[in-house]
Amino acid sequence: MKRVVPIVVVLAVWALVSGALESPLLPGPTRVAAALGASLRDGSLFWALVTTLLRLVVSYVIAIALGVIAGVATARVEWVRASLGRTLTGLSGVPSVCWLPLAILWFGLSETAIASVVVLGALVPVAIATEAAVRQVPREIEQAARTMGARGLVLLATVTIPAASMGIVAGAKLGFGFAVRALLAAELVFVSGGLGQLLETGRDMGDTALVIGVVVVLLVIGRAVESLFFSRIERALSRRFGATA
Amino acid sequence: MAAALTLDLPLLRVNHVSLAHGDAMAVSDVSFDIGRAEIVAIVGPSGVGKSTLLGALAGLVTPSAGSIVTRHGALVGPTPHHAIVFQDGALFPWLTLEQNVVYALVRRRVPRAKRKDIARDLIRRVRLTGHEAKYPHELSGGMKKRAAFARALASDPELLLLDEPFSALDDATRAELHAELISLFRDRGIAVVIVTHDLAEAAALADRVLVLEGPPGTIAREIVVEAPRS
Repeated sequence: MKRVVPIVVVLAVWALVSGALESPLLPGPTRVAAALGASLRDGSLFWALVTTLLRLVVSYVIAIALGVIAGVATARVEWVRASLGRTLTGLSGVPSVCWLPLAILWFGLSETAIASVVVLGALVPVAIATEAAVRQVPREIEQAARTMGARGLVLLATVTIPAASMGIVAGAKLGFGFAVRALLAAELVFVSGGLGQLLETGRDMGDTALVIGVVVVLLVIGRAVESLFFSRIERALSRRFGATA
Repeated sequence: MAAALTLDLPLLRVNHVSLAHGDAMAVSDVSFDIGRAEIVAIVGPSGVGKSTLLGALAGLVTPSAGSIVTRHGALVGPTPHHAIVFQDGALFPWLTLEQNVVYALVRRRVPRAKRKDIARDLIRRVRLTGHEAKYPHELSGGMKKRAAFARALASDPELLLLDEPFSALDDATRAELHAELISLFRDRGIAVVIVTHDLAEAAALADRVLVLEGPPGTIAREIVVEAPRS
């Protein structure tokens, strides 16, 4: 009930305002739902959704893997910290869409160009959070594991990364937001299917209902990922570590 | 000839060891032996290098001078023969008590089929049966210490290194743990080095007390405890 009430309130206010304004620039919820229904029936929304989600999943998984590796290396290898540490902090201030022209020059108008922009966008927050989390792992925990015979990658995989997991997940959550923003920006600029292109189509056709509908779809995706994925992981980790969820 | 030499060696020999802590010397020219199943306490004020010395015995700190020799050869890094229990237990917070103990068994390459039984037996010996599925944050201070001992014993060590293991415990829990653990180590024939700043505790637990003074830490006195231990 606590979750439903705010949604109902927003929908009611939205319906009231759009009804009062009667402007094509602010269609009400029913018109937006109708636009979404129409794009579902003609398949454009479905394929746009599939395209965006596929790009998102592939790029995000790569970003997590590279971000964790970069974060661990920055935390644990002196020369990497000296060279990459400050660069990562600097990169965190660069909007990911800035990489798009470079990606197109490198990879042409291709899926690789879009993926590289998303990976670069999401990788930086993951790497920064991983570095901080790994540096905070109590030294004694790793030392205890070393006296039990854990070394190198085994120590990293069985002790360091699990010990830093709460921080890494926080970075991954932040990185997901960056990934979605980077992907939509890339899809808007580099028209190649996906929800970004559907947004652009709505703008070209002056179809405000479709544009708002796609935004609502993005909101739903973000909420679904939060409750089906991140919330569950965070709850499981909180239960183990005894932290407040 | 070499075999005879090995048999004659104590469990561990510390030869003129010095330990640096950053630019400063933490321990200077320390020598002593640890015999099999012997309990040795290292006492001294804070900052005298007790924990650094214990780290060196665990193979976690490399001597800047001198050497540490075990029955298996020169100590050049951490070894499962030397288990360490830190002040806060250093249990893995993402694993349950049983999983913490099993972790040490996995590293020891104990066959999967035997791990659970061995872990449960060790947990029973430290009187934590019924708490196997609890995470470290769900255990009290005394229970965490017991859990850390169970995990250390899972490595089947020859030498157990305890860094202020009984600090931050109330007197009753401390006395209870003293009696239980000494009996447990004796039964298993494990040598123990305990770092403490409490001379009374050292005398109650140890066969021999090394008194460190400094810094840098040097052995000022060696006391052989004649009275029966707790």
